[in-house]
Amino acid sequence: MTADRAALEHYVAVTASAIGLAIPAATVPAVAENVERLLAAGASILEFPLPDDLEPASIFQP
Amino acid sequence: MSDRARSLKSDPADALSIAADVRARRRSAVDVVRAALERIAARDPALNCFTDVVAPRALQTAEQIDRDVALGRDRGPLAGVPFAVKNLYDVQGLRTLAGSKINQDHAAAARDAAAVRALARAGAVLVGALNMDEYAFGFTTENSHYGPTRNPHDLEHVAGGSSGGSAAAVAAGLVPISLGSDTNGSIRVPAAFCGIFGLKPTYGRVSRHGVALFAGSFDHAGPFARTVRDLATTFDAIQGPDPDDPVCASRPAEPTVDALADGVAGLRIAVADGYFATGGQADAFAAVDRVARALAVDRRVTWPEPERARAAAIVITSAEGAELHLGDLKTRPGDFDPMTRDRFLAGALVPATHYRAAQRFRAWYRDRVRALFADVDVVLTPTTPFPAPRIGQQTIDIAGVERPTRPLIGLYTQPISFIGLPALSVPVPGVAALPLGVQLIAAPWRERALLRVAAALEADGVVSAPIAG
Repeated sequence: MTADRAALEHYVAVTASAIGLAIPAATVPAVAENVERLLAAGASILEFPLPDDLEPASIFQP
Repeated sequence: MSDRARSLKSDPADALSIAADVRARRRSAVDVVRAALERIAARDPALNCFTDVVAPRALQTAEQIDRDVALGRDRGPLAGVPFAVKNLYDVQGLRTLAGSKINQDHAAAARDAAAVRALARAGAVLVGALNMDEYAFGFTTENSHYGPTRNPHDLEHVAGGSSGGSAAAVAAGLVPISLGSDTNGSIRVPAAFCGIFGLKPTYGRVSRHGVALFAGSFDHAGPFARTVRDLATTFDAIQGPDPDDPVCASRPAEPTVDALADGVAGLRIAVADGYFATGGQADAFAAVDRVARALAVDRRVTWPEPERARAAAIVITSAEGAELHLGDLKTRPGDFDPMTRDRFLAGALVPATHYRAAQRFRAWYRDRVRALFADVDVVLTPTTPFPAPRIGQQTIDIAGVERPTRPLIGLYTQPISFIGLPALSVPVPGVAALPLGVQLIAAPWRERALLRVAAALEADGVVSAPIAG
């Protein structure tokens, strides 16, 4: 297992535990693989410059 | 051929022809519905479209329609037309399975979903509920609890998803119309794979009341049919404001059937290049070329940031879907479909910063695409990068490289539903061994433009949906 993959599986275990989600050990690698894809997708969005005053797509109406 | 033998073959009559016959008393609604039930009994075991068939209710409804017609009452444009719905629509008396095992423990729905009631008001007759990917999180309807739905064009291939049962039932001629839902492509993909028409309306156009959600930011309800007239008539019956659905727009319904004969005159049409012209198999692009040639379109447009839009759609979908099912993920993860469970678990771990950035990017992207539609009315793309893969197929050849099959299926649909644009998949036969679809995309609320283009293509014989199998 690479260091990156070990870190990812550790992230999965710790964050899942923090929200009370028990992930069976056998499932952790597959979940980590999916988390890796989602983090990569998120990173591609975060690196895109957006104006600070840009509101999210849905705006709450009281 | 005896009447019974004829009824066991797929009934070629489209929905509007059936309704005309029923209203004119050339056929009884009871006979129409009985024939549909017999076709379902004969063919569905091989296709696995249906999870429930509501025969007593259907026949009772048909009997009432016949009584009303005999008394001179107008039962609507879909009088006596059998239809079925994806099993995430509430049907009174049925548990709303949403493709899951977990929902078998839920109470039966007390009332039909709004769109089901709307079709009933138009005279259509509900005959059953249809198979789907668990909780709509898939593109293939390879459901581990209820079995895969098979493509009527080749039973070894998927019907697409997540509305696979809805598409396959129409493609096989079991029912002329059905309802599905689309979050990232779940109407358009199965329509393309099964060779029929599927419409994902504008976000907020059709009530979602009584429809089990998946990712509320993107969920749409919409119809399938084998003709453009049937598709438009069904859409017209279900669109419009609904105070019971907070997402449903207050915008009045805008009928589309009367526009079908308008043709494409005055419509500015273009083919999307760049991202939408790469990443797929040659036949997918050949289908677009065929449609473009038929429409005499040689203009190209470049879509802004589609790859990033797809990434943002995946982040939001995963996070929202996981949050919705978090309680069950904590208490009974083993009861989820292995095809969805790991993706739902991963979605529960998406950082809030990623989700928020994706929603902010969505606003930026919406504004850029809105600008693109300032001088184009309809944009063409492939619906999917390839025809329906085999059931269980893990990888697929794209330009000589084997890639994971399932994540790629929504390549061209996800950037579109991300901002709720109306999109219609039209079936282009004869390009590949299995059906292929072309995606027609318009600005918000412009379903009429899409249906005009589809009707023109159908009239010219470029797109068609003959019964499969």
